[in-house]
Amino acid sequence: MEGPVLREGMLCTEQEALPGGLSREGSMCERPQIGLALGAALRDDWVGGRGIGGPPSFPLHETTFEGREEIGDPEAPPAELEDEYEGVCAGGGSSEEYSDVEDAGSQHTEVVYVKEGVCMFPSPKQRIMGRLSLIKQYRCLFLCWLPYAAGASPLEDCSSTANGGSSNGAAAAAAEAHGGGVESAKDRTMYAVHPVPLSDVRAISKHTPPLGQHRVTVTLASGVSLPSLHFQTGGVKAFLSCLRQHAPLVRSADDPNTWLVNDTGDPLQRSLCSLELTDVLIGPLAAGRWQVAEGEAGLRAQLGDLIDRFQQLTQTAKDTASSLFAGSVLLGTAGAPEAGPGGTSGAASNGAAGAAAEGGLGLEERRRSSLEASTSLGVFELIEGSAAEAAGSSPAWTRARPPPLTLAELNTFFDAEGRLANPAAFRQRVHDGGVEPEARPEAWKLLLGVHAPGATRAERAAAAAERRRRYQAMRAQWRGMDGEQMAHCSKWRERCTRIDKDVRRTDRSHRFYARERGQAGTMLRNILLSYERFNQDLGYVQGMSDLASPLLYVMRGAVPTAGQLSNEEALGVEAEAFWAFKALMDRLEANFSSDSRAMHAQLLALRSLVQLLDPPLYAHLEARECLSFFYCYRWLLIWMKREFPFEEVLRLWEALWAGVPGLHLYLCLAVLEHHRRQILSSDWAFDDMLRFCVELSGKLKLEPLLRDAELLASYAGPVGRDIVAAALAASSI
Amino acid sequence: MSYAYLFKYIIIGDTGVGKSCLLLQFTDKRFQPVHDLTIGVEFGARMISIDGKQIKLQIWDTAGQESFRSITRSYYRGAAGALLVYDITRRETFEHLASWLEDARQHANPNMTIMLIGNKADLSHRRAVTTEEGEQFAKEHGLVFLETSAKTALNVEEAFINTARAIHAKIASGAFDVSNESYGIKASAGQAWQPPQRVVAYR
Repeated sequence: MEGPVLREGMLCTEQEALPGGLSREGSMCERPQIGLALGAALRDDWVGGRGIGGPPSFPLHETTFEGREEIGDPEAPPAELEDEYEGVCAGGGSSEEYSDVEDAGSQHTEVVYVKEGVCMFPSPKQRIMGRLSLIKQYRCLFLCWLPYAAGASPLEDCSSTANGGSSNGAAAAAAEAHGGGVESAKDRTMYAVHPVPLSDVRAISKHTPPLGQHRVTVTLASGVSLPSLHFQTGGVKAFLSCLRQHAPLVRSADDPNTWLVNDTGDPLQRSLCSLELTDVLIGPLAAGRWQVAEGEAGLRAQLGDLIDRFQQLTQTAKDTASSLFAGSVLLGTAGAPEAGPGGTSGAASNGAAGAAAEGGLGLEERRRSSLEASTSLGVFELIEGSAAEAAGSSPAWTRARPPPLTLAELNTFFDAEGRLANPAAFRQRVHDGGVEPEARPEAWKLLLGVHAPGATRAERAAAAAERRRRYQAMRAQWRGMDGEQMAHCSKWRERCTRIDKDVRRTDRSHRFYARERGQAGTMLRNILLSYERFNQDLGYVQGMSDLASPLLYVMRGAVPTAGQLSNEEALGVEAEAFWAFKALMDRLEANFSSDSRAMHAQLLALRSLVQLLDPPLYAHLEARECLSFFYCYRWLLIWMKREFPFEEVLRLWEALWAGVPGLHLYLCLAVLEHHRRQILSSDWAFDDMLRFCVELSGKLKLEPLLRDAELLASYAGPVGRDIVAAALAASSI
Repeated sequence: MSYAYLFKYIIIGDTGVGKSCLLLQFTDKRFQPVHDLTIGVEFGARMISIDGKQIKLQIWDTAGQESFRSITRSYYRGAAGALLVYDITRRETFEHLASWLEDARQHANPNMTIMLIGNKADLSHRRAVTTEEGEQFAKEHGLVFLETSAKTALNVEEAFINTARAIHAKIASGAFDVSNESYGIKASAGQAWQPPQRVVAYR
């Protein structure tokens, strides 16, 4: 009896608590590591993470539900339950538990705030008392409110007295009327606020009327508001000031009593939390949830391999998590039935620490590296391993973003003869920090391969002269067409018209292209027409002007002349922009082919990556017939050119060119993940999803997305690399 | 604002015929000759009133170039109305109508109301397609026809509103099952695009 009861108390069931509330899915059940540590930190009346077995926690759903059934049985005598709780509480003093946990190895988990006797009023006649706490794990803060077990409240008596005997009388009357206790264990636990990361919280409002109870309302990022928390003995101010010490709060401009929680703050922290990477990791680990859609032979072939990898992952995750949270893990498994929590936890955690040390898991080392990895310790270690393997360098989240690469610094990358000494270091530098405008022309030519790899300064200069000559000849070909010849080339005429029209509709809001038929427009037109001649099989397709425009802008920057360029200067700029465009088109040409093969291959890859990395999102999209991913079409076609302001596109592209192959796919994925909660909490059909994505344009934050794209790429590891490679192979002409 | 129905429209036709300008004229009442060319799809929305009923038009403005046809096709689904646009100064845009129509017939709901639009009527000195030709084509294919100018706003309101009127008449006659969203009509009293976020407690 005891086991299930306690499990019920500790885990509750997300599904029950929030029917259809997908936004909450994964906040607890899919974060076993967090849950374990926090469970340990919080244990008290609920007696540790006793109900929580080892990670992954999925099998626990069953026991949880079993537990519920027992508890939920209206026939079950409440008195017996109370006895159980009472017995448990007698064994475990509340305050000592915390230090105990810290000793046990979760020194990164800290309870920074506790307020007893905070109530919820699910209905006017129903009051549930509980403890509000703030728990800090690494740099993530969690908010938690757990109801006291009936009769276990340290403040139960005094608060009951404070409210007078009438409430007890009313409760008793209601209990009789409903044939059950108003504050039955089921009701109590249903309202429990299991540790919610502050990143999941959108706003906190206080209501402090001069008369009546002070209360606080928490609104989650999904828009769901939790029932108000009533501070019966005051202390709202103290709560908020404690919160402010640990998390950036911004007072809402609209309502002075409301604080926005995730408006500022450490963007890395926030983006990591927002990504719910634990969630993401745990998803595929649950083998039962990994399913390959019928008829997808390619994926099916990978399945065996995948499962192998997942099994490895699972094992490693278990190792890691169990070493990090040794105390609570052992508590959850071995210590459960016999002894009181006080005795058990001490012994078990000692044992665990010993075991971890014996196992040679390098606990300290792991912990150090995990420090930077925020909440999802075990997860990030895995990523780190694969990332280092993948990129041959440290992953993004361990580095602060360096300043953009200057021209002077760029020159340090060349050896005495002007060879790029260490291309990998150069790319990494560009990827991390971006490039100053002054250094962009050269840096971009290096990145795009306009400059041959390994060429000396003299060779580059010679090649540039040759490029200029070739471009001039190509441009002369179409420029020299006479009227009669033109009359016979209807296709060419049509394409000329089209390019003319589109150049006039490309980046005209940018000052560089603002002038109607200005020099920049003419140069852009020349480049596109020359490319049309150069690659007649493909011809001109809409979207190309979007790709060429930033290239021309950057190459123009290499000429210091202000205002109008001379013809010679213009030819030089055009030539370099043309070859840069040609180099970019060598990579993206297939995006524009008439059969859309490359686009479909990339959309399919995106789909596979979502399936791999975020099965809940995949299932959500699948149920709404949104798996075509057509809403990402524009993102992929022109590499997010329309989704960011012009200047940011420059930074975006250089980062993508310098990054791992397929990083643009992960960027699309990152965009979806950043809006995951919104997507999951909405019942959008394809149309809605498409509209949502189109309207994200101009609202995206580049740096967090870039960082998380890289994170996702590392996270997807070799499986992701295979998916990307397959898409890129299908995309090559 | 509440509305009785939401109609999904799609604007199709060759590139450069003025689809985006028509949309902007209708939703913002302005003509903007300089705007970025459409890649994929853009959206617009406006509330109109038919027979005292508030109707929200959700308008999808698609890219015109053939290379995007395969993606454009995925947008037809659930459209209640379509504006098929050509440019009266460019004959080829008129000649491509048949293929557009074929696409629409193939991928859209058969009950979709299609309005044929000859745009750029203000450029009558450069006219390459006569009004009669437009009328004739519309008649042959059972379309409603109007010549418009997104620049001067000539007939722009009518183009969108007459289409809505036709759809509304179809609803009244029972041709649509309003509860079936694949007809591109949502009967609604609230927001259709973004359902109000549930504000619920842990039950």
